[in-house]
Amino acid sequence: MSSFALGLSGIGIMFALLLARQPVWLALAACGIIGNSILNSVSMTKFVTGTGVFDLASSYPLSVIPLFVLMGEVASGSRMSRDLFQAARVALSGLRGGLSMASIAASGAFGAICGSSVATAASMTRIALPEMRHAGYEEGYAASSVAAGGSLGILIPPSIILVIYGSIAEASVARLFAASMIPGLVLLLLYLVVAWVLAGRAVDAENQPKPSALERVKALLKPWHFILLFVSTIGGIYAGIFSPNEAASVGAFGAILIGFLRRTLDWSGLVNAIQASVRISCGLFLIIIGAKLFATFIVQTRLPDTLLELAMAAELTPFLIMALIVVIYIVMGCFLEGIGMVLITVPVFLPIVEGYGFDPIWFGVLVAVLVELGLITPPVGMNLFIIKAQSQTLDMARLFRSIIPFLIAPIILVALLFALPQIALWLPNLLF
Amino acid sequence: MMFRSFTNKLLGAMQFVAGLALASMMLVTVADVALRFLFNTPVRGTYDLVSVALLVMVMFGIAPVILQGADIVIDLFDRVLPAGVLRVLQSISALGAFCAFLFIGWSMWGPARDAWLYGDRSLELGLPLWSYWAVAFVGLFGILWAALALLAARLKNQPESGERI
Amino acid sequence: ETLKVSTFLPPKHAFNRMLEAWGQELSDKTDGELTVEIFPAGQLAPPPRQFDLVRSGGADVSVVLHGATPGRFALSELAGLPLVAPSAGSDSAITSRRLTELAPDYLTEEHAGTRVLWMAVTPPLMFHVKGFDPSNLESFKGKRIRYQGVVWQKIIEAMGASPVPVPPAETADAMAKGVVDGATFPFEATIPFDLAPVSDFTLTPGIASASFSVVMGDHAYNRLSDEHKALIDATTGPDRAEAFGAMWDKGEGAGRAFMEKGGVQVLALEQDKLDSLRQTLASVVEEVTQASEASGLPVSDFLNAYTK
Ligand code: NA
Ligand code: NA
Repeated sequence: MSSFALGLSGIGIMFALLLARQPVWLALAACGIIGNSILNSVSMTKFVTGTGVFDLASSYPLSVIPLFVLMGEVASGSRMSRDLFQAARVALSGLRGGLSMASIAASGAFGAICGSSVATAASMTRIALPEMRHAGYEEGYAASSVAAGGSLGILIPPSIILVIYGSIAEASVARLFAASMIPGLVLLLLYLVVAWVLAGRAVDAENQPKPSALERVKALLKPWHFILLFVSTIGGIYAGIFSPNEAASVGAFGAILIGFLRRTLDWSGLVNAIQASVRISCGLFLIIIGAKLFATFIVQTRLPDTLLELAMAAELTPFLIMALIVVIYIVMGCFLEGIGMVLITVPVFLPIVEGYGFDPIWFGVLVAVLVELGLITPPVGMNLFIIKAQSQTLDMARLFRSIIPFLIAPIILVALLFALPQIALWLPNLLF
Repeated sequence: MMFRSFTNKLLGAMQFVAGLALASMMLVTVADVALRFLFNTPVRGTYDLVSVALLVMVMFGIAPVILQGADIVIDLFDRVLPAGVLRVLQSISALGAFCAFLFIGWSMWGPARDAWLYGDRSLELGLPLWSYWAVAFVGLFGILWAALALLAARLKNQPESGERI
Repeated sequence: ETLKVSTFLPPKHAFNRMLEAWGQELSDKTDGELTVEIFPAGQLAPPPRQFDLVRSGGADVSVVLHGATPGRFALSELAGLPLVAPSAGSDSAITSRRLTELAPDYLTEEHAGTRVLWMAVTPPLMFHVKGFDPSNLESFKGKRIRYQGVVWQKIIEAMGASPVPVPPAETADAMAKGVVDGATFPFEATIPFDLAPVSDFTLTPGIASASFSVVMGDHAYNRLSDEHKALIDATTGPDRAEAFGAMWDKGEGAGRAFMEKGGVQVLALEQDKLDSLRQTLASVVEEVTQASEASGLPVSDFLNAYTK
């Protein structure tokens, strides 16, 4: 069998294992280990496996992942997400679909201190879904606005996906964070528009009080502790005071302090937050390890290079090649989990993308948007699963149907990134 | 029942150590930042300490994740699959996890021995790297144990192996 | 027969270009029977693992950065000691050739399991700083300097500054924001890491080099026909090292031009100050050489031969 065919079979078997309910990390690791052994030798496979696992598990650049997870868990455990939702709710009160828009806005805000979309969605589901159900919102609409809003967690910095991208692309994480800020806000606005348009059908009647402009502004300033935390930690990355790692540590520490001072966090809450962070992070590291083993195998099959040669032979324009890459990401995103997708694809696509003169920072933002889209595309969308897991009455098929209109927003953003690369590149060039 | 109670004790301890490692990762970095601001002297060794704490967190934290079946699966068809098939698939996962980590452990032996023979040291503090590997092997023992415990629970069709430890 | 070549360096780096050219030469001379396939950018293993990757058969050829595994290449690493260079000069063409010539006598043991194809020594790395005049050595006191490798860590400490490990790609941002006050790189690296906009001064001469080996696994070499073995031997060695070093020296010129064009002032350290720096750094040299001597290595023989 040619190595090209071996690579393709490896990918096929990996998908089959996923559908056979095998854990994502196991499907990746098993195909990586076996594929490598066939392609090279068992001794070569042992070397990359043994050193690869050890090196990833002790990698300083990746230590930022559990720290950002911890910051998000503490903030959510000390009711910061609830405060954000209440603030957004008052500010948007009286608008059609106001609660749904509030959950999107609050997710966006929470995303500004939380590095993971799944954590953002999980935290917001617990708070916003019961409120919307109570107000008589159609259930699919309510759940999909939380799913969409939650996906902002990885585009609005900090972002675990961008940290991983930065470590593969040897790009500055601070610069990547700055670059994804404006696209994140644009996507937030797009989601709000979609939610507002859809509200016409999904919301019967809103009889909420209409607060005055002053009351709305006051409500927005109420979660001042959140604003303080954001400015003094994530803000420190842009001001150049902190490295991302330091910002995450100081942020987690600050969130704990604030929680204890406001008495919204106690000792057992802290222990729970730490244990949840360990569990989430180790789940992520399992996938990172599996994806690394799989990627080492795929790289050696020369599958990517062969694909590129095919594209070059067809004399595609750079724009068409980029369009092809976007389509590949969208299709993969329907079936794959985000971190694995980044680890496998970026080493392959980045040299091509750079070769055609595109900026690696810009490409990082594009990848983050596409991963974010993958979180809410059926059939495999982590955010959809998270919300389904927390809501017994919700029907998966209905959730799949209701999420479709929300998919328009990230697709528009992808088009915008191509038309106007400056929305990603302006801020980092200004700051650094 | 001794097996289950030992399993719960072992993995409870591992989860505790992993949590401690995460907390120290945060505290070491905060201390580094504080000293830099107060005395303008960065702490030498932050890089090494954070790396080793991460290693402890990952290698000790994976076992509880495996035992609780908390690793990410695509459970799209769970509702349409017959319970028997589901149980078989879950047992395969547990067995697969055991085999995968057995292979990983076997693979780690060579580089660990090299680290010992060559006297490799960490870059910043010059800590002996074989001690890092020793930590990894302790964690690995727990992971293998957890995978076995999960497999036993699946085969005996006990509900979910772990009450949250 | 295809040789699998692994490097941790980015695709367009001089090492990869030279390995590609070498592969082309092998292919031309064997009518395509012997070719190389390059896996760059650490696709197969990170820098500290490159040597073991070849030893274990994971790749046939790789580029080894000695500083990534302190102590493993104790003699080879001495070529990177501060202000230590052959009397003919510190150009990479000279130092790389000299180190390659010494390899058969001194360096085979620490490369056991592999054959040295050639050795490479970078042009000495220098300080690129922001906000202070580096030609006054006193001004280094209390500054934070980005470094890589144990020797540089000791050099920076000996000069009274604090060594801070910053990844290469983050260096420009860290300097722009004052997280560090300076960084150590060869001129050539200032282009990919875009140091000109964030630096005020560059201090010459360079202080200390990084050293590399290009190695081929014994198992890979033994697998080849006698004819191919002879071709490998003929196309590697001191001449290849010199040609490669010359590539690097050329890159130095381009890097220097890049910095000067970007408004960076390139300062030369006056002779008396250079002498005093040499004295300051003597302790670093002594510390490193004594550690190696203690483990029974022919340190002074090797250094005499290298600096001849
Ligand atoms: Na975020
Ligand atoms: Na999806």
